[in-house]
Amino acid sequence: MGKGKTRIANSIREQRFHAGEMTQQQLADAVGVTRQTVIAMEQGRYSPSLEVAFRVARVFGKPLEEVFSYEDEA
Amino acid sequence: MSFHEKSNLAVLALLTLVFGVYFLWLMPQMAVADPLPPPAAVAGVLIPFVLCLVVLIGVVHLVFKLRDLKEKGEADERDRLIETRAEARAGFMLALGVFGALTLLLAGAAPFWIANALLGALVLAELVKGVLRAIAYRRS
Repeated sequence: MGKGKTRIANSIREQRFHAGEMTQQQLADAVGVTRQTVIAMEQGRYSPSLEVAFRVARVFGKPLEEVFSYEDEA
Repeated sequence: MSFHEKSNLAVLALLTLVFGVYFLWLMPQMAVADPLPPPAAVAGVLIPFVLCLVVLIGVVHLVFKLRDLKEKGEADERDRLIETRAEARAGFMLALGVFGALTLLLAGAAPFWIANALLGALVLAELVKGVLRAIAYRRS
């Protein structure tokens, strides 16, 4: 969290689409965060804790590295 | 906007309003009195202000809750992180105010000024915290 985007990328938006266009609110409820936190994660403005990251991946039934990735320095 | 973000903005606005009236209107009137009012008189003016603030904050939170009954109002990890960071930074302002009050004490200032310096530091630290939280909610 901080200024600008983090180097932790994610495919939450894509995963929600593949999960039958799951809404941000549904994901937030399943993970136990607010919808605003899901929005911030999707936009790359907030890096979740490991625990929340695992919970997000579990909701989609995917391994963590399929949902989150660490971008190399350019 | 989450419940916590709305709550932060509301508290920030109410703090500015209530203590703005005290520091910009009432306190200057008391400061020109000769002799300066004793601490008990200052407390007598301040207590209704604090009570008013508490009631207004309660009413605003109740309105937010009634407008969105589905909102649980529980803080998640992002809310807690924003709170912790804002508190740590605003703590500097509070420490500075306490140091200022101690300086006044050592300089032999009247209790009126020391009490108001401490109150001012407390209010300023809360305002800084609120502004930092508001920025963090928008940027992260």
